[in-house]
Amino acid sequence: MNMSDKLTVTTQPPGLAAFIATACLCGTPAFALEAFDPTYTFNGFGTLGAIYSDEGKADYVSSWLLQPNGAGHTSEWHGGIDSKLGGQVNIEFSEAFSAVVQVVVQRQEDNAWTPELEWANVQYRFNDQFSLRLGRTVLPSFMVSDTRLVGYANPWIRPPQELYQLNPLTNLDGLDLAYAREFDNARNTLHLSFGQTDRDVVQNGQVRARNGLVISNTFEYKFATLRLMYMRAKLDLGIEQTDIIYGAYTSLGETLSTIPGQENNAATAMSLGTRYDIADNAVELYSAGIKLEPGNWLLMGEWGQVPETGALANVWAGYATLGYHFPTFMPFITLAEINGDTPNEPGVATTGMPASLAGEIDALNQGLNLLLFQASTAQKSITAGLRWDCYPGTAIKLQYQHIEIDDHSPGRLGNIQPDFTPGGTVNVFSAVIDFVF
Amino acid sequence: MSSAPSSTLSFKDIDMTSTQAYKKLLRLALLAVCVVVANIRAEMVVVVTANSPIHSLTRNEVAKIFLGKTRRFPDGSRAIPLNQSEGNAIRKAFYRQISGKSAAQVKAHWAKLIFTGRGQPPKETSNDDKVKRLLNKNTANIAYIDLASVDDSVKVVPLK
Repeated sequence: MNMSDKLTVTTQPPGLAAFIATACLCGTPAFALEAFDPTYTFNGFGTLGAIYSDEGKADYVSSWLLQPNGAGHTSEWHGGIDSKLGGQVNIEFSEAFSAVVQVVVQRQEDNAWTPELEWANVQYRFNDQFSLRLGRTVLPSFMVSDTRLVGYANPWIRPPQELYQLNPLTNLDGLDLAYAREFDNARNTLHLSFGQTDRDVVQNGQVRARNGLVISNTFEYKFATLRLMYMRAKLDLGIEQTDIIYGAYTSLGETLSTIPGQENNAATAMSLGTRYDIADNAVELYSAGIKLEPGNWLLMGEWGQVPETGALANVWAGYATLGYHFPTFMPFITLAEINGDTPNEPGVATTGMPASLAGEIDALNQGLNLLLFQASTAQKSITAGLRWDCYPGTAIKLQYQHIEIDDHSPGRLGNIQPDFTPGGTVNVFSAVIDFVF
Repeated sequence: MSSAPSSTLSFKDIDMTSTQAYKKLLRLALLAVCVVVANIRAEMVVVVTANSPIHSLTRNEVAKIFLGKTRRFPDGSRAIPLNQSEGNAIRKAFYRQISGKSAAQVKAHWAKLIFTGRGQPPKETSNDDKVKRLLNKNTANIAYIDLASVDDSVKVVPLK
């Protein structure tokens, strides 16, 4: 065993050397073949962070849809909110043909740190203007969607959740066409994406988006960037707790339809069984963003809107960030808000019903209203932060966020406890190290 | 009576030493400033291969090439930028001069391009000699070096 091991070890280097020598001797053909020789590049990124929240009845999470718990109720300090590790391999087959694979490990909806295939696509560049990507690509909902998970590339610890959580999904399986035009001091890029996506979400839920279409246009002029985006898809959202409520209305409707004189209430109950369910609903998202970087200043702002979709009320959100680049420090301040229509659902009337049935229906109506309030997020926040580029490729960021939650909603918080009182304020302190390698 | 002059004397002593210390500090500070200024003022020039058809470029055109915003020279031919190593004073000065961006800003800019899958930062080499050697492998290459390192193998591109 040992002998053969040694033999293999000793025979390999000469083999390799012979190979290299041959390659060197045949210099010209090797050079000609270089065009077909793929080049690989590996890059990585990551974030290590700890977040504190003073709200004891709910959790501060990075995403209400994708993270089951976080800082506040579960534990005052939590390390699994922004922490993640990502790796990306770029393969260049030729100047026109390339591929990208990106894998990200972060805490998932089931609390497990499972690696997920974030991107996996091949790109073909027809010319300087046109390029096509096939496979899993970024879902470009917002201005920094491309680097949403790469903390180092962004000024803040995480993009303002008021806006960015209008669409918590980050990738799309399909195709993506880009058309770029260059002018003297300007550049315009038009992006068209088609595709679909499936994602497991909190509370054993699933999201399914089909027939997705994204149109976005980015115009850059000197230090200014302007972006407009429209997105549409057919959406299915199944979450255990909400499905129980809808199911209860349907069976209530069936029960009431057998009771004489309750035909109207039966019809109301039946319709409530599907009224708020998100099943094959067309969902739309509009967004607009502007970024200005004159000299050392950074001023950026984005706005977005999602019209009513099932249980999700019509909401709009926006933020503005102002920052200043010192050589290695960047202090910044962000104002953000999400607001929308307040739900108003009387539910099924209980007049003239036996007390026991009326009590059950009232409880169901309350449950539905609670769900609708939770789905109509409204909050305002102010964030003061500091980014310190302490070492090339490494930045330390500190952020303090003061959130004012609207009286009828839990805001962007997750893991809402039954005794949570809507409204009030939440103070969040975050400290992270972002790195790229 | 006798304690008064001695106390003045000791005061003077302190004054003397602190003045000397100030002078020393001042000299050191001046020296530091000179070093820094010398570093910044080190004449940086943009170069292409001796046989390149490129004659002059604007600051903005150079910035676009080195920040991955374009793959071509203004005449439409392919442009391949070459970088000096991270941390080299000349690299910091170069990006400051052409784009006004600090080393940290440039690094974050490239992180953005890399992780959008839309670009890779320019190839890097550690010093002017290596840059010149690499430069001459392809007429599409463009780089920056210290004026003192310029020789027949390269052509200086004046910035308009």
